[in-house]
Amino acid sequence: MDRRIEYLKKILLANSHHKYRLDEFDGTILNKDTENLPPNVRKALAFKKAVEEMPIYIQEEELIIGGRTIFNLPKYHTREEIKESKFSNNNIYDPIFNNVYNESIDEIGDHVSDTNPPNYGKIIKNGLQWYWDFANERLNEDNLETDQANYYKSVKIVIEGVQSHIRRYVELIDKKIKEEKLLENRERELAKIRKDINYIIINPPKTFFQAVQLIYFIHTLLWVEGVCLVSLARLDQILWPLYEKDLKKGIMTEDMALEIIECFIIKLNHEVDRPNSRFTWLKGDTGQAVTIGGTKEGNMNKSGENDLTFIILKAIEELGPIDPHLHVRIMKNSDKKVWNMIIKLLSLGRANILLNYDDNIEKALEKVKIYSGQDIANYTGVGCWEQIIAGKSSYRQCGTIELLRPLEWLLYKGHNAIDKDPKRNPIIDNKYTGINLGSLDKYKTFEEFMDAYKTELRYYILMVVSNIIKTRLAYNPFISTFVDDCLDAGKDIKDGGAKYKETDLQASSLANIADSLYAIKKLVFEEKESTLKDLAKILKDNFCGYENLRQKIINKLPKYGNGFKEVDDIAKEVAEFFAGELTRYTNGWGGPFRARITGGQSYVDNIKLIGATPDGRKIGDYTSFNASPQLGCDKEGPTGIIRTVSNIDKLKFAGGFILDLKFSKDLFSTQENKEKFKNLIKTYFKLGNIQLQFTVVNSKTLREAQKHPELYKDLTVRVWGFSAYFVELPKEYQDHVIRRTELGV
Amino acid sequence: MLYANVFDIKKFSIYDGPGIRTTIFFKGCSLNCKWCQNPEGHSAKIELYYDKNKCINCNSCLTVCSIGKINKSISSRFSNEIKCLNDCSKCYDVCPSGAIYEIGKCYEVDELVRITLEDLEFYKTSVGGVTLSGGEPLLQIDFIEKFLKKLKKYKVNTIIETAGFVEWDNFYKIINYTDIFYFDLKILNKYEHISYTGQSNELILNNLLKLSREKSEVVIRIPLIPEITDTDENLINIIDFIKNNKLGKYDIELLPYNELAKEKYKKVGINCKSINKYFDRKMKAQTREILLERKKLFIKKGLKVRILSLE
Ligand code: SF4
Ligand code: SF4
Repeated sequence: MDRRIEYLKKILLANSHHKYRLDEFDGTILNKDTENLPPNVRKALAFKKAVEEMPIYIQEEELIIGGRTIFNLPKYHTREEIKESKFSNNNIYDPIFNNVYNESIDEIGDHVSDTNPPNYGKIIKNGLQWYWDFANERLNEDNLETDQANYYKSVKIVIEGVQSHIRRYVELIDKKIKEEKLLENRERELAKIRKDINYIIINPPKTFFQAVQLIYFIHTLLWVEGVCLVSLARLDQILWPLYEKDLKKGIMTEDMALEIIECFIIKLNHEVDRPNSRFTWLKGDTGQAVTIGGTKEGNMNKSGENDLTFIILKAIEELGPIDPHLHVRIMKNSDKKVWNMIIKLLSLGRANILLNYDDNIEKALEKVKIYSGQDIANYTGVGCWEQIIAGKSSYRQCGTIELLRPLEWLLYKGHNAIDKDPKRNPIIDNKYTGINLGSLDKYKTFEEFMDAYKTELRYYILMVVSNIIKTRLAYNPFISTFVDDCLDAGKDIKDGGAKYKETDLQASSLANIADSLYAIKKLVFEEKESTLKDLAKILKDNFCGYENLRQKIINKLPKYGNGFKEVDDIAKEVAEFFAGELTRYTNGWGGPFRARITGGQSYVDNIKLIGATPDGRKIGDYTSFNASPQLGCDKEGPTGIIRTVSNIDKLKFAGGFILDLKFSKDLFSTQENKEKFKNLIKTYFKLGNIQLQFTVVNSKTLREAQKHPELYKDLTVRVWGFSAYFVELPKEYQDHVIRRTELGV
Repeated sequence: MLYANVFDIKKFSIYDGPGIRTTIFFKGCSLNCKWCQNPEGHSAKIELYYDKNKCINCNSCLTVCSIGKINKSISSRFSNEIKCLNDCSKCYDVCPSGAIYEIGKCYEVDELVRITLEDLEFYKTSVGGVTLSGGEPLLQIDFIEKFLKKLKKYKVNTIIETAGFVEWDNFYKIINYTDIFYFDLKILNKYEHISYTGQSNELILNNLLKLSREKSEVVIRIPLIPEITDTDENLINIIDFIKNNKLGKYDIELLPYNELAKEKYKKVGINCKSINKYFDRKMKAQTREILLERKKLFIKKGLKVRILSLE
């Protein structure tokens, strides 16, 4: 790591960029002239005003410059819109049916697009001015509809905004050179940056550096528009042509490219805390996904790893950052070097790596039936775990189906066990309940009971889906500029302009529902140790007076995650039923729903709204996260977990299916062990799985870090779909990581 | 029906041979090593153990025991010895928390084959397989013979870890179904061997020599127990023995001392003084430097050696 990078990393960890931030950005674009403009044009104006006026900064030693300093746009909603939204807003969060929580909202509560990366390849090819010209030309056409005209007007405005934003940086450099006593080297450096950014205001970038800088400007301004969890798509493929060109021309060395990428990654980490979110986000949940590897563009049968893939991996090795989320596309014929590099990064404890297995993921995407083969081969990872087509998708991720909830409804005649939300008043209203299926006495077999569970689950999915469809979306003129079909058709993504319009819903607590249903099967229907009615009462009382029973459930019944067929089959039945039900629906754009088995923050946070469960879990205790076994219940080691998970048909989960494995760092002590670890992963994918993520750390280290946080500042761990600095996590999330079973000891 | 008594089945076992393996620990041993790191493997019987940390003091065990064998005191439910010899297991069945637990379980051949084949895909990818360990697996020879034959039908790689103290016939029966023997060499001095393991080492050494004539794949394993096996004198004796008998063609593995065994003794509640006293000496795991030095001794003599869990 060179001196510059070391310095930049140091000031990053000290949050030096915070001092440029504004808590509240005042201002409005509303006046007599603008008030009557259509909303997307108004938003474009607000965006332009924001990027023209927000504080800008260049820190010492920075090569890549820019950054978001404000967290709200100037006001652009009219009084009527605000008034009307108060009456008719479907976007109010509730933790059960309308839990469309992973999106940012604007001033009036409308949902802003998230996760979707622009088509950077096209931006690099054409340059910014091309978009303005294109829109301008379309505006001269005669038969343009009003909506289209408004769209193209907004495109021109946002491009002008970006251009003057970059121009401000040109001026800032001029000022610095003139007024500050810079070292000669730095002055030369800044002069070069000035020349480069001045060039890309109008022209397509012609060097690697210019391309990276342009991507960073656009990326950071997407955050300004309000888009959150924005991803960066397949950087090693997108940047490859310019990288190769610069190297051939001899104007850049590999080391220089590494330095540029490292500067870029450090800048991405300026976004890891997002103070504008409407919930308490955890630091690192940014969705800044960089995808590497995968099929070669234009040749679907070849794996496309290139030198840039390794430069990005090298940067992750050197920096140990929490961002980007590194989505690594691997496949059967991936370069051995990639495998080795991944193992190396994991053994160093890098927790920001998600493995995506192309051979299976592509099959799952095919089954969604909307994507072209070419697009599938070019898929990109976004957010925490999802895959979409960059520059063509207007993907939405919408909320969580908590699989334990329908079981509660079934046990309590349609009611929730806990009717107060301890954290987010107001109280969960009584109207938010499931179906009352009547007395529990009538279930004579487990199969009948399971059918009733499915009835509740079906109803739950239907309610959530219909709420998703009802949610109102905001206009997103900036990101819509860079989505291919939007630009061609003159349509914002809000109006369905994108080619692909997929919406994902995740289901959480899979392990707990499988263990719970199995416990019922065993205790109620087979051993007849309890009746359903009694069990419901015991659970309602949080096992009070029934510790024996609870202990028996925990210690003597087989659990999800050990390759025990009977439990695994229940998990399979529930998961695949969820996928089947969900994918029957289409979203408000007529696009597909895709199912995903992950958990988001449910396992610590939302689970507080679920009472005691038949798997022996008491009120307030955590659940499993993503598709992993319940804490402490995986007794058979990693192969047992893998057998359990492999029992489920992954091709039904185009949205994702995430298993987390936590390994002891000691496992990586020998070369031979590393090889075994690699073969473990390879077998996992051979068995039909699609995704895998890791935490590699010794639990002892984590406990030490809890005691002496100051000594473990850059220790990173996997949270649900991203990596975070362990010592900065809330205690309950820390404890969850510690309690996960450490494999490979 | 043929049964084996097994006290643990470890999947994804990575220190017991090449690739990803399943290691099966057979219960019962013919030696009585005072440093034994698997005390549960000692007796050939199924045993009841008690873990006081898990006990929720529900008293269910006290209620079911018809002969009043169980103490009211939470710190030691079973009075003097490890287990109750009555074998009715009622207390185990009824204990909800798993505080009373059984070590040892009987398996039929087919059942054990089924369990080991669950990970067949992992063996295939990693060129791994099944390792038979113990206790002394070769004591349950009839079972093992059948078991290995069946595994071989699926082309599973097989390893036997043995201390060597069994009749030669027991080796002979399974030699064709075993890919690698991991053969323990502990103490060369006959009298010391007797005093630390309870038996003379003649049979063991003879078996090793016979094996070397019949079998190409043998790994000689030397457990490094501080002050007992891990002494200059003993290691040099071992090296000489290897050289003199032309065993130098085999890989040699040094097994560093594992302090965890102490914890294990505490956990399984073994208070049999004769075993325990070796751990009172506060024996420490060897440092990396010491291990490398030991390794040098072998290398100097041109032997192929590696330190397990270090390289
Ligand atoms: S095994 Fe039977 S006799 Fe022995 S302690 Fe348990 S219940 Fe009592
Ligand atoms: S049955 Fe188990 S948990 Fe209950 S008192 Fe006995 S040992 Fe303790």
